[in-house]
Amino acid sequence: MTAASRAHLGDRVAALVDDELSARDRDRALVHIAACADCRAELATQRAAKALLASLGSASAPGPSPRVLESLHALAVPGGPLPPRARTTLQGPVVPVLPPPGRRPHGARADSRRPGGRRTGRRAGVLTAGALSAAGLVLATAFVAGGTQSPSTGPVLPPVAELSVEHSRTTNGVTVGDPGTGLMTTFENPGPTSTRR
Amino acid sequence: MRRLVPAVGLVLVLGSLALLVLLVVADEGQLAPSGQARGSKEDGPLPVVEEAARRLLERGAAAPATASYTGTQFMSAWSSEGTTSQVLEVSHTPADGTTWRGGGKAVRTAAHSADLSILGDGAVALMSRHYSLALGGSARVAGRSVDVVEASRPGAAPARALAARFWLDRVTGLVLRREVYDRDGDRVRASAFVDVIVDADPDAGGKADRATERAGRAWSSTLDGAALQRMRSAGWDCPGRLPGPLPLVDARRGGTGRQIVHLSYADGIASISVFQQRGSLDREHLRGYRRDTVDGRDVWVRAEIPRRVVWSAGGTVYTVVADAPERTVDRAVDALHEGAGNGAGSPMDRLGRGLDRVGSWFNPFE
Repeated sequence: MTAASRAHLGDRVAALVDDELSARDRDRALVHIAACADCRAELATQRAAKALLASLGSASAPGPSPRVLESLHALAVPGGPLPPRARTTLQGPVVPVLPPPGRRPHGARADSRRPGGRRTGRRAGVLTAGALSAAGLVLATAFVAGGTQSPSTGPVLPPVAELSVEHSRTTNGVTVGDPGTGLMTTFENPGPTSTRR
Repeated sequence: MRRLVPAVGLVLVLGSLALLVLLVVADEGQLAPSGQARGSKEDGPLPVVEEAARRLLERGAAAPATASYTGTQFMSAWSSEGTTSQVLEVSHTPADGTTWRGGGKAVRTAAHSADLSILGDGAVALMSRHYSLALGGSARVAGRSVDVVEASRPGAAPARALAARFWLDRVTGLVLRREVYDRDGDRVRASAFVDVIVDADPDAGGKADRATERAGRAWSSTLDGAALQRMRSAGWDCPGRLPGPLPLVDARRGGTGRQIVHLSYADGIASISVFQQRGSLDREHLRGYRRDTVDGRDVWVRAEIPRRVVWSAGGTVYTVVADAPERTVDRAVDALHEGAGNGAGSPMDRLGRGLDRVGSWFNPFE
């Protein structure tokens, strides 16, 4: 055996395990391993490690898909600040703020064709419509309710005698002639009767 | 789904507004104009008033404030219900008013007049606006010389034009005889002195206050035009005129808690009082009335002098007390039926009243 052949295989043990050596180098490595106990042990160790890794790999979840990896890469791309959220203040009305051109608003769908400000505007429109509807219904209800008089106070028996006296106290000032006409009570001779002048 | 939200909101808005407009338009078609005439239009030829006739009537209307008299008077009335007559002893002084006695006891004491809150220019002014006045010659009543004044309906056929005839004492001006006719020319009221002793008292002015105290005063809570408008806005049915035509001359509130509204309508010859109070008619305890139907609605009638008609509609009980021809009373009741429950004022009044009412539904303290 030559000196070279007696030198250990070193990194070529791993290449042998991974089946990456040429046929000539592989034959030389195998001749050396047959004669070298150290390299034979190293080869056994590395084969056991590869077998262990292979068994672990078959039991683990599949790796991320290319689309996921692409999205992860996209997140890593540097960009501008997030658009500020629309706020309601006492000083003014709700003003939707549009994101910078080319920037997708936070939370918007990638394929959305609507600009983000229209969502806030639509919400305000719905609120306005709701308020007007409620006001209209209240006015219509009030109009109906106002058409009837106050709720009845229950059965009433008019004080006709008192009312007749009250009538006589005012009628004397509005007719000329005979205040005593109201003295007569029931008709004594039933039946239609009239007297021509 | 998201596109449906604004569409539904728009429908609700337009629907509510359309409902409101429909209600207002429909209601305006039903509302009788507040304060306007109720019933058919009756504007006709203007009355022709002879000044001498008007002066005699003015003197006759003022005479009870200055003249005292005693005598015997008969009174008669005619209607579809029958006839009635009474003979009464009458005594009158400016201080004590008029007292009638029948069968030895006083049956009524009356003061001369009350101050009117709407049209306060007197009975003769009222008559001059509605009737032509003319002198009708001279005659004698209870042995005294009298001047005759006739009141007639302008534009009516001669046989139906006469509305009333007055016999006025030539010395004192007192009305010693009076007859009233309806639109068919039928006599419906008559009264006359059989005998009378007159004592003119030129110093009697100012004494009538005692008579008013004795006979009792009309309800003191008067309503002027502005107060009446507020009443209309609050839902009370207060037409400015009833068929006849009979204009509104006086309005008051009274009764327990001032809960009764009294509207007086008169034309100088006929008078109708309309009383209104909230509630529904207690028919079970109504005695002495007969049921009748006016414009398809039930009314209860007491065919006396004065005539009384009672009914309820729209949460209000109406009581009509009338010294007027029967047909005039019926037409007034018809007209009041037309407006029952519609005395709501303008649509804005109605809206304001409705908002108050809706608000009260949510007020736990009401």
